Amino acid sequence: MAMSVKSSDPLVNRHGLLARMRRGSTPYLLLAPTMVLLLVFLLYPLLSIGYFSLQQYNVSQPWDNGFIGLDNFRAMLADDLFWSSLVVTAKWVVVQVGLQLVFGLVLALIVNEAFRGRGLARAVLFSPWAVSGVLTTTIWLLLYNPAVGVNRYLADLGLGEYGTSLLASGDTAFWAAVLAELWRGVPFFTILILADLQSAPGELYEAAQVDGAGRIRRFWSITLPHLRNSIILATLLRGVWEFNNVDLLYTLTGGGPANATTTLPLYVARVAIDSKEFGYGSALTIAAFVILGLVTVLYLKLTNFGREPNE
Amino acid sequence: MKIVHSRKSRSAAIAAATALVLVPLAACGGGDGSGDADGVVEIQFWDTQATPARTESLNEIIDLFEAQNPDIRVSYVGLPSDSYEQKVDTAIATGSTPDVITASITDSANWVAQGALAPLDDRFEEGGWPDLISASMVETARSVVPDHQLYFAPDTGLANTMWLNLGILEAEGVAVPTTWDEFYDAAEQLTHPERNQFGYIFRGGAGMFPQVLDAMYGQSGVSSFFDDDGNSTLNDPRNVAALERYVGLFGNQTASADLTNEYTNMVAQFASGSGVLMNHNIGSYQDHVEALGAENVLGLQPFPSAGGPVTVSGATVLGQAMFAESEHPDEAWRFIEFFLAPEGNAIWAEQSGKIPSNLEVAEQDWIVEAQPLQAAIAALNDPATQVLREPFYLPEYNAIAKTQLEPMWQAVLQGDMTVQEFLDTAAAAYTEAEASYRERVS
Repeated sequence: MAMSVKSSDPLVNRHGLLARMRRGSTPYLLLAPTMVLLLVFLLYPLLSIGYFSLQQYNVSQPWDNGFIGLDNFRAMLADDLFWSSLVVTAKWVVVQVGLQLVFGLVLALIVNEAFRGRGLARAVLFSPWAVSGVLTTTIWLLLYNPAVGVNRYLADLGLGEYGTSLLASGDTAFWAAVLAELWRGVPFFTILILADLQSAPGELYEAAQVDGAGRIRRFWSITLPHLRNSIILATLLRGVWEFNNVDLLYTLTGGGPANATTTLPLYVARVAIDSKEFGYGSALTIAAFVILGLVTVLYLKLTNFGREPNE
Repeated sequence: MKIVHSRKSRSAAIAAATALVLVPLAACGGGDGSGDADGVVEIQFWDTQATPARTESLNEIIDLFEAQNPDIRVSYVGLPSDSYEQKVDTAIATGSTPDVITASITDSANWVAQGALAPLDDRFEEGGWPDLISASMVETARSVVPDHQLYFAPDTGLANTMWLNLGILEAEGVAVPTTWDEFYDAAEQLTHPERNQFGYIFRGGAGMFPQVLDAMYGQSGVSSFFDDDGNSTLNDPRNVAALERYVGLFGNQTASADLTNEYTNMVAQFASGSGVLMNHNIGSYQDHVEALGAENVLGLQPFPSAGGPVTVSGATVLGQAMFAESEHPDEAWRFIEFFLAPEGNAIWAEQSGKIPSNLEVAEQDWIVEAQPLQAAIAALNDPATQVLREPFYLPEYNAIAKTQLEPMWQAVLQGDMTVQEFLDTAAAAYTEAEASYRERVS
């Protein structure tokens, strides 16, 4: 049993106290830079947004600036574009996450199998994830361009008409943007699911095979339960990212035509950048923050994330 | 190797880590563009419409200026035209504005409202510029701010122009139109969708409003944006009829992809010959000449309206402004003056394809021989011409066009909204803005 002996020398006692203080403060010192960064880049903007959401604040009309209470939130409830952008956002998130999950899962299962050229196939599949958002947009803008894109060459072959673009129609622009984002987003699911597949217990597959379970049965009874937490986490992360997606939509469609692809974050960007209505833009941001927070909590609750299915 | 763990080294490591985090933060602060040890003053210059060609021209001007002013160094920053407003507004809010910025009548009301620009009247007078620079351009520059002071020194002007690919017109035996009826006929005759050729290029996307105004007021002959009571004339029945006829071009004499068209695509369509007629300001002249050759490019001003007069819109004035926070206002003004003086003004106007403000430069051979520039100058100088003055003094003028009207315009083109509904909404928005402006200045 260890025993501590207290010295009677006051100098020794003082050094001991200093040493304990130094040891005690070390974790806080180590955490300090992170805390400072969090305060500066997370808490301050949040508080700032909260403050401005209660203000009329337009930099080009400073004479009207001032505290207006909840007027921005009242205006939001009567704003048709707010509601329509919310609908577009929900549609965008559900379609994107759903399709990315399905395609990502299928591709992960394929490249998890042993076949010649698997390494190359994996590299090709994962490569779009390494491409930046703006570059992705540029690639797809060219593909959709009526002069040099796919439609032009189809028209050359007698399929379709000249001077058309999938981005230039309210009926097709949304799905054209979905396709571009799918190209970038599917590898995320493929990588995550493939990583989890590597740890799938081989003995379970062997036992199931001995019991006569076919591929589909093994997938539903072993693979999918094993991937459960990965899928929940990946869909949640991707859902949040897709909700906040601005770069691709802003540069690919700008929210058009006629607001057909205007999501809530894109609307916020336009209100703040084009109209310079920072007060109203802040209120919209608060709404987006609250909606996203509630949906996240609800999703985690419904899916019992981190718990076993029978827990 | 022996690793020694001591409290001293641990504290040092923590200090180093903290410093590593904080140093980049401090570095983000940037410099203030002040003078350096050799006595050379550095001024910051932002270009709000940066393109490779403009950057090249401006660098040429900067080189010349620096050669003649060895005590001043100009640091150039090019901002893209579609995002400069956000960057400038942020700079104003954070007190990190440059010394000089390219400005126009579309920007100055917003920046003046924020108290960001320095008035240049005294310097302009003292430099003797009132006798050397186009008085109408100076007056236009003053007219867009409530206090009628001069917040940017006008160096060039723009006018909306109808561009024609003359080579295609001649090849197809179509005469150059001289009336609005002939224009519509020509657009129809020049349309051959089966071989990817459309008579007219529509602007359905970003920056659509000037093209709409040009076609609408040019045809209707309505002469002012507001009537005497401050009601917008946008939904005047003559304008509604004119715009309905113009919208009829879309999808028939234009590519359907024009629904989202903006400047870059329009110029590319014109250059490739897939579009033959187009409305755009005179600033794209050099692009057309480079693509098609000067002999194949013709620039026309609006045809007379049904009622008689020619009505032009989009008569824009551009120049250089100085920020009030500039630490080197004298040096900044010397740089601005270089754009007004014959040498700099000629380079800038010729290379950017604009109308020079310097009266001496306006008589140089290159501008006399440039047909589209001459057509614009002749129309603007003709006393019979009606010039539609857009209310750029309204701080919300651009925002209404961009955020409200642009999506609605696309709805009109897709048949989801009528022209009347579109113009009623637009007129209501501008009438309200005008009313609050009048109340404020009164």
